[in-house]
Amino acid sequence: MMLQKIHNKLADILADAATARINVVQFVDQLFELFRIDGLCLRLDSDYGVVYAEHDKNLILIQPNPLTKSQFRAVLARVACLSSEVDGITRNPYGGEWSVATNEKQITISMANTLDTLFVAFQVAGRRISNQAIQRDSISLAHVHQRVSEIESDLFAEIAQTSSTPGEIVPAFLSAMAGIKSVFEEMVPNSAPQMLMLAGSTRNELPACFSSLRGFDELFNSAILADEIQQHTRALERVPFVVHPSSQDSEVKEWLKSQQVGLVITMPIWISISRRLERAGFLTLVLGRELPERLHADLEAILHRVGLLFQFTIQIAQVAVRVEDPTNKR
Amino acid sequence: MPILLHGTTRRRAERIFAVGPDPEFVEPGGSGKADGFSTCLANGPFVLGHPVDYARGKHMQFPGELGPAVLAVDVPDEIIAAAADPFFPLSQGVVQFDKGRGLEQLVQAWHHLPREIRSV
Repeated sequence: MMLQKIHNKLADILADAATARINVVQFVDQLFELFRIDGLCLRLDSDYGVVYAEHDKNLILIQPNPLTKSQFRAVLARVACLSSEVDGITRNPYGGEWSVATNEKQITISMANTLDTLFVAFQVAGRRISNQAIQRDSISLAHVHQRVSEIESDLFAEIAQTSSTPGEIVPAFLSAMAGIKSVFEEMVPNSAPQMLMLAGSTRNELPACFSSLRGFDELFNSAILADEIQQHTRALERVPFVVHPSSQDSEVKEWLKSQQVGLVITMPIWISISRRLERAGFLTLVLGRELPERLHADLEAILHRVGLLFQFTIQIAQVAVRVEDPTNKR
Repeated sequence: MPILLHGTTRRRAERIFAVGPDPEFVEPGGSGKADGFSTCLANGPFVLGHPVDYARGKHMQFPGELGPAVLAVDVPDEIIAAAADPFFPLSQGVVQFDKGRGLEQLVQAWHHLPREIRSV
């Protein structure tokens, strides 16, 4: 019920902004009112074209983000301005990491890595994120990256030993995801680790992936990393499914085309630790040329189960994964 | 004609002064284009922060860009009107030039507009 309420209110505010019924000052004021809901964390993400809110370990997604880049930057600037009024410290809305508790109600506004990510988060009654805490999280993240890589390697090995049906891949995939989640739980026990899966390879490529299947080449460009896929060539040869970290490389793109792979699904893993979004790695599924008929059902099962696994709504998973069939493009 | 202010670093101010706003500009280490050109009325109000503070913030981010500076430019009313947007009302002192919203007119008229770079 609360989720629906938050979703509706947030959607109303965004719609008002998109249709010019409110100005930037009113927009931020209304957001602040929304944040009085206990435990709510809201993120406006310009580059990714999404707005999402977290409440009670549930995630609400509104896509696309109707704010233009200029509007979004103005929101950042307004938040920075208000924060400066509270404590007298001048802040640059486009750089650095900072947070401020605006009043006795402890509405905490944090803007992390704004130069890179144009990211702003608000939370109510949460713990204030100090620079020291952020630094500690960053250190933890380095370990997380390593652990995630290890889990992915294990997954590769397991996939290489299994047969080729999607149904047999699903348990291994889910097991790996559960392992990844446990890493965060071990390393940051009090941070309620959550994982987001968004499509795309790098931050810059996310918008393209989000905007309704711009094309297979584009997806490929955002999907494959040469050395990592070379490392796992054996797995590719043996099964139609592989899971691997991804980035982009033209040679791998050509190689994959020569293999006539059927589908590529890219699922970078984004983690949110202490209200700070970080990329932890990627999982990309490359499916062979002979596509099982029940493929889509299996994919839906994956998405649904992963969504449940990480206590996110299926909505996020559905928009997060883009599937392209190259055979339709040739 | 209202005077508009744009807080930035001196290096960028000099570039904008010479060639006009560049929507293709990408900050060093940045990932996205500027796309638009953000200014405010010289007399305020400054609901998004004062351009001097903004210039100082940019200087802190980019200390090698010759220090903070504010670019002041006298812009005709009709160009400002083209930038008018309910999300950025003039009553709040914000003049945001975007593509299709005054940016093209501003760039076209730039070399004829009185302008100066103010040290911070």
